[in-house]
Amino acid sequence: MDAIKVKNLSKEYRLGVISARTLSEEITNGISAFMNWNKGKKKQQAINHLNTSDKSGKVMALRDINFSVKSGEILGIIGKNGAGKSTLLKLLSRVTSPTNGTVIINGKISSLLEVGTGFHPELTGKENVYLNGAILGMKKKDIEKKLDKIIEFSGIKKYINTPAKRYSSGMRVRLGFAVAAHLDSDIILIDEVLAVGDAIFQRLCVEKILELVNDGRTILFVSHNMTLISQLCTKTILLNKGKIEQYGNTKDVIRKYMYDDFKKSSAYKKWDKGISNIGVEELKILEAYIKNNDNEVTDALQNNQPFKIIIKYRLLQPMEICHVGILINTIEGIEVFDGYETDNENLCDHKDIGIYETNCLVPENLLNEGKYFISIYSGIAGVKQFAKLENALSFQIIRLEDKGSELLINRKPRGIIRPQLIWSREISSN
Amino acid sequence: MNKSITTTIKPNRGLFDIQILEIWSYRDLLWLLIKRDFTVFYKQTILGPFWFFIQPLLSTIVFTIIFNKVAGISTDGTPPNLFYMSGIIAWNYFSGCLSETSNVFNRNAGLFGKVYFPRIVVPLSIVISKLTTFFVQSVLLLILHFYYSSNGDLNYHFDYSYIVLLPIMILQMAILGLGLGSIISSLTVKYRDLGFLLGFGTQLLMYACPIVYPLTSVPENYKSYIQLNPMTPIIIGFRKIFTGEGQLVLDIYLLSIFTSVFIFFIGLIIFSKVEKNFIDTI
Repeated sequence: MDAIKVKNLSKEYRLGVISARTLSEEITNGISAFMNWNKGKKKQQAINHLNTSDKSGKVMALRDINFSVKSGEILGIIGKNGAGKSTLLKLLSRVTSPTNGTVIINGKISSLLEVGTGFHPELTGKENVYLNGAILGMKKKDIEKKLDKIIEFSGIKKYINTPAKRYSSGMRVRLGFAVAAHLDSDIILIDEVLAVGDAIFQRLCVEKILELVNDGRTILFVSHNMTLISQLCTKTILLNKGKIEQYGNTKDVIRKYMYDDFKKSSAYKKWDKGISNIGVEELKILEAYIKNNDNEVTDALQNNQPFKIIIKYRLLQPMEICHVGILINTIEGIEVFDGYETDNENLCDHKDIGIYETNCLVPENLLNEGKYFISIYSGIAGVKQFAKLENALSFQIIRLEDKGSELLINRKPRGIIRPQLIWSREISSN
Repeated sequence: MNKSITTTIKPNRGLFDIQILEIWSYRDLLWLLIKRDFTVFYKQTILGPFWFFIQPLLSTIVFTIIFNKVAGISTDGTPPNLFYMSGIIAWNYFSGCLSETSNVFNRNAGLFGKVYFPRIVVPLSIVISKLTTFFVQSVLLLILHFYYSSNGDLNYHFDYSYIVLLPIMILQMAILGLGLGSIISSLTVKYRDLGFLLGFGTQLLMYACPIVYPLTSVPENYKSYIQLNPMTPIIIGFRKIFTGEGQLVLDIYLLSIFTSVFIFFIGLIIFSKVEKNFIDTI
């Protein structure tokens, strides 16, 4: 049975102007709409048609979306910011209504658009569990039944009678997720909730989600984290500018999504004014590039040759311990490894204002053939993030001198890494 | 599992689209919201429940001094304290409902933007929690009433029919406040300035009610306008219960009931229209 069936779903937003409208403008519009209505429907239709153009400040956040989710399926939804992912979840959770189309939902649906929503700072953790549960659609007696489990799962039993205003943000998220995880809904919408919390909690969340799946629940999961999507979802939708670009097998969809990025990315990036997160004035990334063993900037690298990742940045403020580092992803979105310049103890020293160039040597015989991304990160661990440049650089590993196995098996080796293993053989008896 | 539940999401087109059954299924939320308002009120203040008394007491004293002693406005032969306080307490309930419900969308935008539940539950909870304040304050009024009647200051001929009217009048104030509040709340989503207007608007509206003056002292040519105000007969009736003075005219009262119900339904219609898409505009 289909848990969710979406038919020709569209959503139109007016851009910004609505709140800034004055009453007189509204009245004028009202009058002209009335006049047009008097002049017959045809003209009205013409006006409606006109309004869909971009000039009128309207934007189609979703356009003719069709898909269905089988009961018990876990569907991933990916896409760039502004592709319509959150709008889709908002429509499904009925926070807003569609401009066109219908959705048929079989079963009880609830959304974890943001956990801990509606927590009142003055109420205790326990009181908030009740309130939050009720907001999410639970009955009071159901909450009572599950209260112990919820508190247990949240891991903040000691503070359950403390007002929520004394909680750390982590504690709030834990308690919020604990409530949401114990909903008895058949269909659960999840939007990036796993982006918060520490690693242990994140693992707990993933386990809980898998438990929900085994329980037969249907889950729609929006995330930018391709590793999680590929771990959790069997099928995935790729949204682009409000349309479904691809719908199918998760692996294929992620590959398509990442490949689009790959085409735009390259082995060399330069930011003339420097780049950082919004509002960061301490550090600016100026340049990043990849060099092969012959010191040429290139995105085609050989698996049996080392290569270098170079990041040039400007420090605008003397700094004790700040770091610049990289994260390497496969094109499927699987994280391969990360590393920071501060991994080298000698680089943990005080740095004055100036331009620095960090060099990272990646040894040979590490990565398997394939396409990879490099994201660049900078910040002070646990304090502040200066920059986060996702998929800033890209490169390909090409296998050239691996003749032995190629001659014999003639296939792409499996896996992400391709270390040079040392094989030997001797005859033990004859 | 509740596989039997099927929801269809369609574009928002219906004029009157309120699902009573759905609201009923969220009754636990309604109750918890009322409880939250109550608990939070206690936790945040030192004097706690005394605030319920302080506000009407101080207003009564100020009104007595200014309108009765300084301006010399008559109170129809009833003790001025009792006269003003009965008006103030009834008005407080209505204006409290109005000002709180008129803020529902803007204040809960964060919550409404993330979770779905019938939004009407929130203003409903406000109107019900305000009822506690109203009843507690009415006790104060009752004390004052017995003080004056034991003193012999009150020329009291009690009419039981007004006691029967009391729950109707309370309900009427509730739906009037809820209805008007819903209309304003829905409009402030688009026009923020209405929120500012409301602040002194309710204050001015109070003077269009016989709260600081008796209806008998209103000049004839203004009287009909004052009587058009749906709150006027409610104030008069409520005051009659505690002071025994005042005259409630039947057709004026029926008009008031009609106006309240009409405003309530208009409010519901606009509210249900706005609740579906307001999150796009806020």
